[in-house]
Amino acid sequence: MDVVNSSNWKPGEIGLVVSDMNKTFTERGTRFDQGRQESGIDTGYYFDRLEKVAAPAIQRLAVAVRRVGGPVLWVKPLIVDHLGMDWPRGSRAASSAPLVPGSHGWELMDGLVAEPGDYEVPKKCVSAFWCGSADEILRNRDVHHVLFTGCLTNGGMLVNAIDAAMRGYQVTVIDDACAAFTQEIHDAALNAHTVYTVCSSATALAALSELGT
Amino acid sequence: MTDQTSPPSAGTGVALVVLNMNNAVASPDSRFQTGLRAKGIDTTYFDERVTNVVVPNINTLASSVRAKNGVVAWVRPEWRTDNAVDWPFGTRARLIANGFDTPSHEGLESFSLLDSFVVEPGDHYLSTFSPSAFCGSPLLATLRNLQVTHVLITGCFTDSAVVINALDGMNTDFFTTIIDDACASLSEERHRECFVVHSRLPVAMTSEIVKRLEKEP
Repeated sequence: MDVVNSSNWKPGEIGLVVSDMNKTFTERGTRFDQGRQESGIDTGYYFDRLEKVAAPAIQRLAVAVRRVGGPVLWVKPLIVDHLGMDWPRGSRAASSAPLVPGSHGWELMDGLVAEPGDYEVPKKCVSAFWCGSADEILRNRDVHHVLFTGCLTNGGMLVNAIDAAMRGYQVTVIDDACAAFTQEIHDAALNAHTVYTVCSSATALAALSELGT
Repeated sequence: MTDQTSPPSAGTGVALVVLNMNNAVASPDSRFQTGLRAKGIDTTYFDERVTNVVVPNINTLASSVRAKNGVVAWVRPEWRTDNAVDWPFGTRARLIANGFDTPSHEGLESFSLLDSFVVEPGDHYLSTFSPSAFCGSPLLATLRNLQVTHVLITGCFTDSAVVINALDGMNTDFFTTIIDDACASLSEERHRECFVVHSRLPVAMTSEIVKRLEKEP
């Protein structure tokens, strides 16, 4: 499906959430990449998709959302403890720890540029709604419709999209602005739940452009 | 009804969460299931799995959890409106399309658990206003107040509420496990597929959990 119900979109009420697009998870050769390769995953597809498809789409969406007065939230896992003990016991990611501001892995992927009015949203679990300030920022900014992007489609992106829907936001996942380790798992994740709609970045950008400035 | 005014006993840290096993969702005679069949969706697999697998296993798990002074929480979806406006925006259209367009709450038959469940005094009844009972009910407060550390997720549907609540359990710092043979979806394929998508969610069988609990002091 490539349809977005934008009939009730209003300037300023649309937000963009970008999940986990910092270098730890988007750069080839990191411990994250090596760990996946050691477990038998060919990460070539994933990084190609991030570099050629997802990141350019996210960058275009960020520009368009800012233009209509909406907030852009760059969600990043914050892991201070070197064993990941500051994360929930069921999802500690020691292999990515520490991951803190100022480190190389904390920086956004090449090609993505945060503007001064954007929000950097550290999270202390997979969900920036449970363990970050995503809900407070979106609610305080009077956002009702949230576009979700980032990685992994079946991980951080999906969890945050579901959590936004559970909190009453109208949620749209942008197909080509997300990435998983295979196209099959990406497609399965997009089809896994009914609480969000899915569209392409082109469709979302067209709807945003109709809102004007 | 459970006497919910009695003080809970000290738990051992385990809770069984049973999702949506009330008549409005899980009964073959519900408006929901009648509507599915009218659309050509066969509910036989789901109903047989609920009757023959899910209900017995949930009763077994509940008994084991209670024996260890754990928490049993029966979560039921509640609506007070006929257009689902008391539920999150993204769920409303699907709810109405699926026949959840009449109120369901305490005192109505649709809100009652399936007759085959064994509920004991001291169990917790929770109403939820969201597929996530962590967001839409006092489940999170209940678990934290009773010092629960391990949460077992059961009920229906595996590919929606079960997975959503399991994710929320993990994100709120509980050791969370989905009990495979105490959950159901409308088809075996949908039940299995969600474990592929959400591959990091821990899954176990009822017999494994019962054995583990028996070993607990």
